[in-house]
Amino acid sequence: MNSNLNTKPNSPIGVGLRHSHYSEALARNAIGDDGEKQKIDFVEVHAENFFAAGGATNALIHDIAQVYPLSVHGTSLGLGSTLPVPADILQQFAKLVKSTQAMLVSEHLCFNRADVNGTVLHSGDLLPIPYNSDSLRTIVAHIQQVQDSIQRPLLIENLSAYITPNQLLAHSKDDMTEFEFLISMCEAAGCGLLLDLNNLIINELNRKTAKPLDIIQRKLATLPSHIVGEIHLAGFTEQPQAAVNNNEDSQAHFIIDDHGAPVSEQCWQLYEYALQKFPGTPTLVEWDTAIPEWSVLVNEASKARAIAEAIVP
Amino acid sequence: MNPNSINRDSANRDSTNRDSANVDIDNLNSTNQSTANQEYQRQLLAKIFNIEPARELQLNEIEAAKTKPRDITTENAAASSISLVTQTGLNVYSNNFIENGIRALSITFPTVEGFIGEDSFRMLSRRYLKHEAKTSFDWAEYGNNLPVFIAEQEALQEYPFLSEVAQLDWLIHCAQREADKVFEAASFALLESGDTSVLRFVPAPGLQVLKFRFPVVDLYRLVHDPAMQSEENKLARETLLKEIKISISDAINNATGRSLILWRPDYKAQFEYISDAEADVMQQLIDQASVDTIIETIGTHHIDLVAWLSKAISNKLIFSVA
Repeated sequence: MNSNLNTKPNSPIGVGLRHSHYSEALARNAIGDDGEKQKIDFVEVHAENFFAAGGATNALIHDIAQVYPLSVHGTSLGLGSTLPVPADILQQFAKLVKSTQAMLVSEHLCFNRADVNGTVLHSGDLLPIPYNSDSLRTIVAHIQQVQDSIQRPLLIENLSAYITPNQLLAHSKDDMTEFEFLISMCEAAGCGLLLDLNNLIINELNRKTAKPLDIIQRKLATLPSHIVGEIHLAGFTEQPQAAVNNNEDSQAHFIIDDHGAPVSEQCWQLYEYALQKFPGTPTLVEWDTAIPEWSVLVNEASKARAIAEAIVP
Repeated sequence: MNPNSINRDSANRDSTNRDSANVDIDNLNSTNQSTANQEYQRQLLAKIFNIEPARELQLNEIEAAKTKPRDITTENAAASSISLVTQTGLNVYSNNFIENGIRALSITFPTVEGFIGEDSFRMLSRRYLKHEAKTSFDWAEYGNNLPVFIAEQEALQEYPFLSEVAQLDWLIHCAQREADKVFEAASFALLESGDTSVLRFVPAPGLQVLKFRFPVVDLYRLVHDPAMQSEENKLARETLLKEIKISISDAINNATGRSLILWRPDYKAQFEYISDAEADVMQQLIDQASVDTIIETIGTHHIDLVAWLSKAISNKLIFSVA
């Protein structure tokens, strides 16, 4: 992991940079509504949006990298897939990481593809894996392959999920908890953890846990502080629930991790707790659907900064 | 289902499984974890793509059925609850796939969407996503045979040109992702001093010669030219529409296509009609014929060499000589 991050003096605060904000974000010295210079320490881009061999996006990413330290966030490597990581995709990922000299590099605890009837199909999504020894061996090997290629450690993000593997296939079962898996993965692969607080909240809410924040805090307490390399904050859209007839219907209602709202109140609370345990961790505000004005996103980053600055390590 | 039965973490952990009601541990000891993981991944992808279950899936469903709890009073309730929750979860992934796919296709095929409108485009995309499995990592690489798919859709027969419009959208999209090249103006001096029997023109990124029956250039302009969208230019738009209707009628009655050249001078792809003679020259250039051969072809077609070369350089159809 980046040695600068281990000292954790102050949390760098960043935002997810999406297409509609490119112009404003590149106007680095833009002044906000309050007359203050907008302070964003880094921006996160989705790696695949910049995989083209050339053209405008290629030029754009280098312009962005001139203005901001970058977090390159992969969404398509599917490191938990039982199929190997294709060399050409890994090469594109590594090329982007190297050419942008990214400050942080991350991917997800997920799989995304499988051989179905002789054809490798790609979901284009982040799909959950079982938390067992075989999954651990698979993802550790793939993480190490990526790390060898990019010559630096990866951060792996915990997932929000809407099914558990053994719901679909009884044989595909866990032999450890999610957090046991995450810790073992980081220790075995030498990678770090991208702690997505919103994902943890969504999972607990979808499980209808009585006191979700208490449960999550107990989980966070099990994490060694040195493995947490970044924190993600986000909000979700409350979806209207159709009239439910019984408890089964109620259980089948899911909150979707759409990153389509301001950071939730639960997420801010959890962030305050998390930063006490993991002070100085780089923090990113994500907002991917129903994207607001740039200034709204910057305000969310300012809230994160206020919390981070109030934490005494 | 009891929410705690799917809790993964030690705080509420009461078994090694997230959904203990669905598993009979005694009967599964011999199951290979690696095989199970592969099979789970295969099954989830098959569900998302709504593909007919393969042999292994059926076997495992039978196994899963065999291992359900024997408590008759709770069996039916548990099974239906699991089914509903699991199906709802699967629906989230299926919907994600469809929505991500529609978004990606609308970026790649903006002219198609412009003609048929958002609702029809969503319907078309849904059908295509169900017909054409995603086999690439990147959504930007998905959609290469949408033009053929469109041509086969009876519901789109009122847009006979739409398949060619989709083809143009796809080729523009690909050209704009091509590797960059450096424009080397100084290299053209080699045409004076070098051996033109071995020298070759380096084409612009994405340079290709195409043939379209329908008036794709005007159709593209109708959707994307800001001037054509404004109220002040209503008359110009109506005139363009009339011309397009005549061209479409000609295309339907006369199968001969018109040559078009597509290339990327900077970041944005460009295209324009060219004569068949110019198309012949350009195809040789793309095929990396020598400068001598190209000059000879230009002469055969009675094209003004100086004017051709000047235009090819100033429009950045060629980037250098090497």
